[in-house]
Amino acid sequence: MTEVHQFLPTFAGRDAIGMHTLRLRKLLRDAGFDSDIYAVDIHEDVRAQARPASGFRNRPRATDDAWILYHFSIGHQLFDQVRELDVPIALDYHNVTDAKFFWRWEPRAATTMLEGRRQLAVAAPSVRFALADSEFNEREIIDLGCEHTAVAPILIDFTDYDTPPDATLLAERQRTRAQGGSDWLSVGRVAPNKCQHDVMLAFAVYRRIYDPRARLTLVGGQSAGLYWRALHTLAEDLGIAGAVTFTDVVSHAQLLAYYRTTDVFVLLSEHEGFNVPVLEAMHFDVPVVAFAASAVPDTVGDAGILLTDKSPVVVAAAAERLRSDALLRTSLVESGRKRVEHFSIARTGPHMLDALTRLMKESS
Amino acid sequence: MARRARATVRFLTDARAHDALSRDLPRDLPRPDVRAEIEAAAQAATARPDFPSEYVDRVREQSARFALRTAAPDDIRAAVALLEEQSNVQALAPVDSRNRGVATAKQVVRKAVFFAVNHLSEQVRALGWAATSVGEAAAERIEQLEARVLELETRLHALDGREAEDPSQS
Repeated sequence: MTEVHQFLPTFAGRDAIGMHTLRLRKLLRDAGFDSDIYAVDIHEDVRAQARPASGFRNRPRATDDAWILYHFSIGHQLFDQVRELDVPIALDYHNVTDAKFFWRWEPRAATTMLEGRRQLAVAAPSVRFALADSEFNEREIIDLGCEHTAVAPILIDFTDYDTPPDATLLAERQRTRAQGGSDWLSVGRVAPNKCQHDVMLAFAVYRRIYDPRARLTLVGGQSAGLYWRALHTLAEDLGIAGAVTFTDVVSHAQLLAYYRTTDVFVLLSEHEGFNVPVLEAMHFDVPVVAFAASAVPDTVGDAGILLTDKSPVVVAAAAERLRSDALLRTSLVESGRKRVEHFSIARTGPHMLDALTRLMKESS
Repeated sequence: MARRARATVRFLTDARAHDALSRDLPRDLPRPDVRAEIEAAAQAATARPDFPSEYVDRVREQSARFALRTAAPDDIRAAVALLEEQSNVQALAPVDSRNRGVATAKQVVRKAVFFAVNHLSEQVRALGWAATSVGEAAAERIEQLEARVLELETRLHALDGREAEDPSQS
């Protein structure tokens, strides 16, 4: 039996790559491959789902027909260690954030990003093949010299979102919404490359020009303490502290409650390798306004308003257009449903498996 | 006198730099009409008599706090200014944590090791200043050489012109 094992530095059950890894393992096993997940830092919630990377050489049922699929999103010594194993390596490339976004806020994170870029530049020409979440990611990996590539989006099972939302939070937000004012939502790690500050700046202008009772919720944990604090200070300085909620990390049920009580989803990120939250928003029929940078246009397609100018007045005008134009809203929601269908695991699963087996054959 | 004028590190909130960041955006995006209408609506909003200009100016000022600091690849003065800014390392590490106990523990550790961390950060800062001096000296020398090359090119062109007018001088 051919072995295809997945490696990643940190395996967490609730992040997009972690969930993707679990789904891919199921796909591989269902297709008849022997497949396990190996990681260095295995989070408690998925402890039973993965093995320590250090134990790979002594894995059970070892054969000579083994492959490693390495999930690449950050620099880590694990990648150098994996390259020393006598096993063909392929990449699942999720992109590496540009260090320039982090230098002034979290230099340690910037260093791992730089290291990631270094490792990638060295390894890309020598790995057997690479899968990429988006065309944007694929272009990068081709530019670095990888010869065999395919686009295979992150595996998302949208039925996971059809579970009950947090009832208390839902009721609380519905009560607030009944008093008027629209709700903006932005979901994702609070990080400098994701530019939550731009969302806040646009929101401040929106309240001043169009809707003084509007509220903004920023859902996501912090990844740079200084940036997190700077955002709180910004809210105070702009006089919107009472209208902005920083949720930090939320449960799945809470996330669902936020999506169900939102008028517009705003993403002004400068750097994304894919971005799952825009598709989550579409799943909940929430119209999307996004800045057309990096892989965002690949994911959003025609199902959102893609801006090429994210100055606060323009973003505010886009949100207002969505509030006042029911026809446009309906059109976006319909396109969003098609987009969700396009990225459903029923489509992306077989596509990923086809790409993987084809590239394994071509590059053997 | 050596030119010591500090180059300004480029902040990506100014229009020129914003364009530089945006130039890789795809051209053929869906719904171009809607996008154009939104941009026109934004323009129209700014022309309204009740447009809150002062507040929007304040918002723009605030955005500078988050500006991405970069130096263009061919701008050595800006690169030196960036180096100088990044060299200003802080000995006080952030102690934030979701867990109050962890935050307290971090504060205690920070206090306990401050004398060592501060000593190290002072040296890193000094190293940064030294590197900045090297960068400034290099920039100075490069600019002098560029000026000299320009001068020589001008003289060469002048000689070429004279030769074309009077071939007997060649």
